[in-house]
Amino acid sequence: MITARFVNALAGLSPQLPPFSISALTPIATDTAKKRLLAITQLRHARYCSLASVMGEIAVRQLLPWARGNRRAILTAGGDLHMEVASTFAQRLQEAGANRLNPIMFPHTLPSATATTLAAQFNAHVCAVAVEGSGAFGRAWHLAEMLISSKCADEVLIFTCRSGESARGGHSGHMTGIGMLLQASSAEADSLTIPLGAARGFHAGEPAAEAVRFLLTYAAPVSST
Amino acid sequence: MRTRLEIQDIGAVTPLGSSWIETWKGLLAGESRSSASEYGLDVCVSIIENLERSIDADGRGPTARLMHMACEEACRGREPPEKLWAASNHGEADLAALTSSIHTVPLSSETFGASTATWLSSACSSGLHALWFAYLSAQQGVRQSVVVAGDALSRIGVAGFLNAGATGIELSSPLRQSSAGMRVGEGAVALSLASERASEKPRIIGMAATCDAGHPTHPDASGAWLEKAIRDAIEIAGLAPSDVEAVVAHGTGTRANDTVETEVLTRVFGAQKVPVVSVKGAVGHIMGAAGLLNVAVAAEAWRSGLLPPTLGDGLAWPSVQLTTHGQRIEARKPILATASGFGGNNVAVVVGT
Repeated sequence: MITARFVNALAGLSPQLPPFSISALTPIATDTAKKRLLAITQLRHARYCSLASVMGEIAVRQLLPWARGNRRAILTAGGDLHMEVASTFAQRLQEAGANRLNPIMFPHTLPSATATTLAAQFNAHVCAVAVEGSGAFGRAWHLAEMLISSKCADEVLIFTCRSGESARGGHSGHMTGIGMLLQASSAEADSLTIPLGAARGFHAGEPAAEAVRFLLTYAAPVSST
Repeated sequence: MRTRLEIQDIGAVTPLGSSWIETWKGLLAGESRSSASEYGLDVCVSIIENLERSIDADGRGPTARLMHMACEEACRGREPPEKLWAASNHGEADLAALTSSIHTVPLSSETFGASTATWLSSACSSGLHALWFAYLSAQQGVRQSVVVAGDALSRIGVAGFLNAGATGIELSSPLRQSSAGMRVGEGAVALSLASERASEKPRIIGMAATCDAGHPTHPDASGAWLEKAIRDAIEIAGLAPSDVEAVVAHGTGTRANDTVETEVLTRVFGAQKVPVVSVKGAVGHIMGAAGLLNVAVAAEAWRSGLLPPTLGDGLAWPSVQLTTHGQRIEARKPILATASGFGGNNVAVVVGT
């Protein structure tokens, strides 16, 4: 069994809600949130990072009161968390040439940039890996279960988001960010216990939506008690 | 006792050849491939000749093509694997993909008949993280899997490394004091793996991963987390450092990596001075696939008792026994392979019996 806690990355912009309240997952419009997120993040060089990394830092910070493990891993779910920075980097490369690029931006063009940025911020010394492709959230959850059950990690932080700024278009301009802290099962009252293998059946769809669906499935019994 | 993963077959496409055997023969012969970048940048790269670089209507680009070729070689004549683990670094994140609305689909599970596929990225340790998760899933009962990692050169990647001062027009000389940096390359490597022993093939006998959790590009100067990954992998394999016959190192040719890595190897192996090799002087740094290539080299060296040379000029870092001209070692003895990536990820693997 895995104990899980969830927070909405954007909860700082709305009344603070309990860690796994479903109502906290309402997305907000990108243009109204971006400035405020940059103002409250504790990330260094935040303006060179992707918005996903900024949301991730805010989400994971809210989970820290419950963090207890020494061996912590970070997994991010979703294949386009880096695309906003990569797009800007590519555009500047084309317009101004390689000599005019800001080297600080380069590592943030990588798909794993959000994971490694969060690892540095929150001392995750087990691994910092991005899970991509279809069903990324379910697969990340499965990897987290594997890391915990094999005792490679005491706890795993999963972050997934929809930043609304994908270079490939097609997003609604609304941001959703969800951070999750998974630990070996505990008896604490405010935790949600989820059976191992729960991620099976969540192998399709956009990661943030997939995560919300997952929460609705597993958090509902808790809120009804 | 942990489940050990047998390496049944290896597939590879690198600047030295379009199959693993061509690559291995090229490495042993001391061949090297490098050319000027085609992006109008003043930098040397290792490219794969005649690689189709367009992104087709199905979303398949050069990285996917390389990975398919490597997978086909590793899976030839075998039953479909239960699980496919795929990994890359920058991959398709190039201008062509960024400015189009095409969603690139590097690999799907259906391609090789696998029931599931997981796609991972952790910069230049991507391939070894995929292998690590395959190793962990074998502990939980997955019997057959294929791990593939690949990267095609991207304009962003080449320009980014140049701009960061990690690469240049000089040839790369990994693990040597005068190295001018690394040479970016491209390629793909695939390993077909089974948890049940069917033959006298090399096996993954220990693996461990750590993360520096520090600087976005530079390794932790103390090397403490790389050292922990190496020591843990050796311990999980049930060995002591003195049992390790050779090391296939990450050895990028950058001062930042090579100084830390050689210091760590010195601490772990002490006066033992195991032979150390880096293949990046021959094929360049093939990014997300670099770690899997190191495992393939370790597996072949375990089988043949031959270590390829570490190409390059200048004096080796004195603390390690660099194999500059190739070396014969005792076959079927454990060999360590490592990879590290931007953001501080480290993975260590022990190949043995």
